[in-house]
Amino acid sequence: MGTRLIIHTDSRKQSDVNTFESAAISLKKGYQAKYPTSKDVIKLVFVKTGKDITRAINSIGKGGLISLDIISHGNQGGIHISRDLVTPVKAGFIEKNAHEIIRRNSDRPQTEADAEFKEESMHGLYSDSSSKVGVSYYYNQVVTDSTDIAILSDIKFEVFTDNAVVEFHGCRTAEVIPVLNTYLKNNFAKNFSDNLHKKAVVIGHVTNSAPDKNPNGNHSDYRYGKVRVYKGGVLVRDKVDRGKLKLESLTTP
Amino acid sequence: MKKLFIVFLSITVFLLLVFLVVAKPYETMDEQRVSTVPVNIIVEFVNVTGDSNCTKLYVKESDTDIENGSALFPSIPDNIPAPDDGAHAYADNVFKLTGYTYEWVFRNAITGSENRKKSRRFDVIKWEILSPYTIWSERQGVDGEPLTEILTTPLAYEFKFEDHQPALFKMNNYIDCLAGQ
Repeated sequence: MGTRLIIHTDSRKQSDVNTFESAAISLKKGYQAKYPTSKDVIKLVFVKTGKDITRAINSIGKGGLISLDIISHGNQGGIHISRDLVTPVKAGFIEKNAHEIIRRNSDRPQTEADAEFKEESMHGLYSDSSSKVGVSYYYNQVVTDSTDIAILSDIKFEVFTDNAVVEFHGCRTAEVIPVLNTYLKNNFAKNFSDNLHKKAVVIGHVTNSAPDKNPNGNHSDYRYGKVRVYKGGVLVRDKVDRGKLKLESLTTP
Repeated sequence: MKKLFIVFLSITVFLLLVFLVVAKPYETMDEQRVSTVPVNIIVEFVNVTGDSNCTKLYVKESDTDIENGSALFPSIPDNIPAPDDGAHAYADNVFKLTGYTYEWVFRNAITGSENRKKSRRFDVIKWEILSPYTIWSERQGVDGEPLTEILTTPLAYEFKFEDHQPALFKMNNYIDCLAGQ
């Protein structure tokens, strides 16, 4: 008997919290329908921080985690959880300029006044310290004072079974950005997969997902759109449609 | 000593050049209000959950030159709720927003050039939801899942003050999460 862990996270927006919760419960029902006689435990956990995520994972016994689903905000750096600050914090010279430069050619460039103050703080799970800092520059969010942030090295990866299936339902955790992925920092899904057995599967989205646009009509289902699949850190499927993904070892519904 | 000074000077010049090329401090940008009277925009709620900063309002119809399908970045005054969060923030709901449009003005201090580009900022002074619409219900399902309800009762909010100066509208750190998809 093993454990299937489904984690849904907090958000600054209540509508996102509801969407994540709906998706998590829908997924739980999917597992129950696929394995009606299974004695595996399906654990549904709501978390507010990265440390909560690592605690939920690490609480499983060695070799007991069959599958992990995380439904959350996401980006190339990790599982992103942010919160509004009661009092905005003045951005430093490097942070302010980095934020302006990164966002200069985006659809919402940041003016000097926009970048002057940080209005949110970060609390998620990221690949490592440099990923954490990169994400904080992109969003102009406070990272240094948050003691509840976690990084991959906080996870006890021995809790996963050799053929575990991990799926990040949030956005862009398997995004590949030219140059960045090759020379600086690879994406979160790949980094997570590096820590697992070569038979274990990690699935992450390539783009942002809007569950209400799922062709199957289920507004609480993120399992559609382009994904990348890693096994033991090796890319085994590139930009394939999640809805049509077929893998021998895929034990998720 | 002289060698050390030359090395120090070279590094300083190099770093300064990098800063000039990358940060472009000679380029400035400003977001200016375009419409002098309030205009209407019909938007649809798209439940893109990539980040809490993802905008969820996409233009369906507009009196302005903002193209249909564009992401809109609503800035809201303190005393009305945001249309893009709360119980009414649900996929496919349609909102009529009334407010002011903006444009970006980019200036280059070296060449003296000035470029203008459409901005997606929209200062909202009034919004209403078109009926019927879906809300997140306060009731929960048997498994604790959030339920929804379809309503037809009018839902609208208006900024009651005559002063509509830009500083009264809070701009979020929005991103268009569906851009390029």
